[in-house]
Amino acid sequence: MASSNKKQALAGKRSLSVRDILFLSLLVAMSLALSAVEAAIPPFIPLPGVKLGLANIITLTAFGFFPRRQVFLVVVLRLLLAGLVLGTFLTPAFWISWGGGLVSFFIMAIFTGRKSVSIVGVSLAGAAAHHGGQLLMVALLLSNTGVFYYLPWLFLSAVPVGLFTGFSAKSVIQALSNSGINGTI
Amino acid sequence: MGLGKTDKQILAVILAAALALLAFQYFSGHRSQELVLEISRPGAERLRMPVSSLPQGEQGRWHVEGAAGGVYLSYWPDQGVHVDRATCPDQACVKMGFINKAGQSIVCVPNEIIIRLIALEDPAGQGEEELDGVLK
Amino acid sequence: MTAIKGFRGVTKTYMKKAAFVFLCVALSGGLISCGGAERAKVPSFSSTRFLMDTVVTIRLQVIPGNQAGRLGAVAGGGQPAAVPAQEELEQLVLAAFNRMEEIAAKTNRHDPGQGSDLQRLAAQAGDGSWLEVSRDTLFIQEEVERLEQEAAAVLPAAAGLVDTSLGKLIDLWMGVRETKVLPRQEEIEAALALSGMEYIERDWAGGKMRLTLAGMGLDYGAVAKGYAVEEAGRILAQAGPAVYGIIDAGGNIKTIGQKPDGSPWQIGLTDPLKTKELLASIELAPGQVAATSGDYQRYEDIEGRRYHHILSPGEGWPVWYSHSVTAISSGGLKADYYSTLLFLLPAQDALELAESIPDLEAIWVTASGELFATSGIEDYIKWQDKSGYKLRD
Repeated sequence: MASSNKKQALAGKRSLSVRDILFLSLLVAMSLALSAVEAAIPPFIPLPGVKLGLANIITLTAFGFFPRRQVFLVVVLRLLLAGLVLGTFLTPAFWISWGGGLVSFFIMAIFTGRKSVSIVGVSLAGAAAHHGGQLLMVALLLSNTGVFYYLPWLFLSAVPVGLFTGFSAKSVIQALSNSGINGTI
Repeated sequence: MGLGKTDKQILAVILAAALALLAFQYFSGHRSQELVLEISRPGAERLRMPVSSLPQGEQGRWHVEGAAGGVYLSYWPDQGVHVDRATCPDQACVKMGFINKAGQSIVCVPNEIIIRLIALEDPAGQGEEELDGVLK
Repeated sequence: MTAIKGFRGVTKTYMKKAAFVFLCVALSGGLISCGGAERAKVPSFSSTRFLMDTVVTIRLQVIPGNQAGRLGAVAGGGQPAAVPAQEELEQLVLAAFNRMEEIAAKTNRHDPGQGSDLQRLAAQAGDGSWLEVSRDTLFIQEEVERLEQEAAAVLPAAAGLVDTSLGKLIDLWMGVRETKVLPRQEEIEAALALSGMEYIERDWAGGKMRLTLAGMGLDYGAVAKGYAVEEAGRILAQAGPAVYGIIDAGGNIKTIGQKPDGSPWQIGLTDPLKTKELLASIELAPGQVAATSGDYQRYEDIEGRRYHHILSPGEGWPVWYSHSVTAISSGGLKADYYSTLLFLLPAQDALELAESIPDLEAIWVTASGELFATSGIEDYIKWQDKSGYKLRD
């Protein structure tokens, strides 16, 4: 990946450049926009608050340019701001999105950076983890394990979602790399 | 640049997990036990009613109180249990449609209501006549 | 994967949008198909609420054939009785629940606002001041004392057994069920020292009550639900003879009116040893309340012994004569009161007492697994054939 040198350089650094911060904020803003789009989509399983995870496109993009620590920041900021912007702050939907966001981040963080796994593979694993994490949070919130009935359906839906976010993130990374944004940061 | 070998393995694992879980549900839900409707809210006792004793069809307008107002249920013998109306903004539980197998549930997160079908051993006491209620 | 490869080749943004929309439609479609239910032809309404630590369901329905107004025969007079419309039915159920919640709000001990009658009485116990309380709070206490006199006139040992002044002792045992550590005898004695119905003073005319022993607290747990069911039933009865239904409050069930096919109300009795199964079904007459007190309802098993929630006011420990006692009466409070009282007595004494109290039937599952009932209901019980139990002749 074109950005790997950049990533390694950043991983060692303590502070971020203004450009990095700007880029990261743009990523947060974009993922926020995707969260808003997602909020308008009707729920695809009868568990309110359980979302497709389109914002993972940006998380994946961030993995393409930044080390894990900064990506984590993007995810946390997105989850926090999405709650505030969408008016779900501290509601069940807010916590469910945290369940999905954090679990998928950690799974993607494990798979990312491996030669054998492409961004689409990371995306697939992330989508499944995102759905599983959300369900886990619903189960915790309701202290009821019956909701795991939907796990297989969520896994099935994770496949098209993961492919979609994966290929989307891939083209976003390519476009950004081609436009020279990577080189000049 | 399509999917690499490991990518395909990840995909296969997800699909396999989904199918295995579905198969498990399919086979575990097909025993000849009686279906019981369970309604619960966190921190409260559960309500259990044999499905056969539920008011049916159009007669069955049934309101269940919830944290955000509640839901309206109905039971249709051919199709199952259904949420007709809900006070939650997203109406997710209404869009769910019917549940009719053990293990299936309708969850209304804003209302904190879980409507679930479970299979109980011998719940209605194998009686020929239906029960109108159970003293707990 | 060919479809994905093809997708990559086409103009990116446009195709991406299309795929996105397709995905949304594919995943959300098919779920929107089911519409709402049509209006019921025969007015009917069921409602479930969570109150008094339990799930309460009220079902109310107009007897089919009556909604057209052909009710003269049932009403008995020449005038056809008014048949409630769907909305009236729903209003009645709502009013019944509101009544139950009103009673719960006055008589609970865990109101976070500390504003229930019982909480205020406990807070002011012993300082001599009279507190204004609801009629419900006064009535329940008065009724418990009246029922106690009635029972003690037949069986002196029944005096003081159903004790509404055990707040401290009940708190102690609630803690035991959480910590799973048995209380020390000093703790029990300290809690018992803070009880006694003689320290409850009532002023019905002034609508006031006070507790004259500092530190004591009331607990209506043994009777409040039965009273609430009775009061809810009183409201539902306004629907008239064209309506039938049931109030199911877990351990208390009340029937309303006659089922349309003329068959008796059938109520299941939980098997105390296998609580997912039933031990019997019983027939109830219209308007009757059945209440069960059982050692399986709230308990903690510690060192092989079941420490349940029905406590002896003399010893301060759970009472182990019976696994469950079901009492049936036309009064909800009475049924609830007697299910506890009969549970607290040795089964044989309890049977003799129940036989001589009018408007009361009862069914026992004793600790030794013996099953028996008062003569008035014996013929209306269908026992399940179960091992571990034996029917008394």
